[in-house]
Amino acid sequence: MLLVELQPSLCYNKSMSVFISLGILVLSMLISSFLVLVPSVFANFFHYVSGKYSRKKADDLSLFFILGAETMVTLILFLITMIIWTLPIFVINLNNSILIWILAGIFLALSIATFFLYFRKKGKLFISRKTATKLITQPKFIKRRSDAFVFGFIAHVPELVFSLPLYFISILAISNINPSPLPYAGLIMFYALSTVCPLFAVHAFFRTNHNFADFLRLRIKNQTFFRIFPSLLYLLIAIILIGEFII
Amino acid sequence: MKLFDEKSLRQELKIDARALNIPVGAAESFIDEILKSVQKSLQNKSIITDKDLKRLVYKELKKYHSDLAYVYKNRDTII
Repeated sequence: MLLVELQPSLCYNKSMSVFISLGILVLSMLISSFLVLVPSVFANFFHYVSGKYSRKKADDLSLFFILGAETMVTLILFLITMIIWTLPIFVINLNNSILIWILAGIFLALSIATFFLYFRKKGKLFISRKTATKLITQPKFIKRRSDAFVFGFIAHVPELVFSLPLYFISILAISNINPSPLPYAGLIMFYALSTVCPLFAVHAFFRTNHNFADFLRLRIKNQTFFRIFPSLLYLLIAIILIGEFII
Repeated sequence: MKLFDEKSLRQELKIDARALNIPVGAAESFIDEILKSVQKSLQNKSIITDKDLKRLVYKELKKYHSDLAYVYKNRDTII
């Protein structure tokens, strides 16, 4: 999403406060940790490998799955950062009014989409049955660390429609908080790490006398919460963006 | 249309049982019983839908281990 700099009269000149940017970043982290596709794929993967292999190998493969997922997020964040930093002729920051309105619209749409489309009947997610079946059956073909890494890497792809705008606004918020390169990179790494925290949580869940049946029950029981809570957070980001512009 | 593959079903149930920390001996024993019952039910039928087969296996599994039955039934609802 690249926007050419507009005339000053059309632009929003007031800088978005660091406090607001921090708020957007925290909300974005919260939403990332409530998106359920990758943790669900990981739970299914971990259940399968711990049934097929020894505990040590299951832990090893799951670590590489998490590394794959982390690499994917870091790569996306890096690409977004490169776009923002290497194209100075385009105005991509949180002080561009047009960009703010577009982002607000996207987050509003995501809020509605999460509320109505994220879960379908019987707790199934928004993705097609064919994709879901592939994600469910793929662990059967995983034998090596590299397979687990690639699976972790691609597991993010179907959910990018919900997570990519979050990554984008997070990078914008981080660049608004601290424009100097070193702390900037640190904040991005911190954000990238926060996105894989749910996977560590799922792993810990399985290692504390819980099994896949417990995970499934929890997931099915709380599907309304997992639908409404991220939807409200998306809405909150949209409201903050619009509010910041109007005020 | 595909043939009923007892071997892959047995393998799948064994992996699930092991992941759920069910002792191997006990799991093998009740999986044998379940597959015998399923085969018996299939004797009178030349064709069965995947859904009906799943329902049949679930019904039998439930008698022995509720968690295993639950995982077998709900696995595809997770994604």
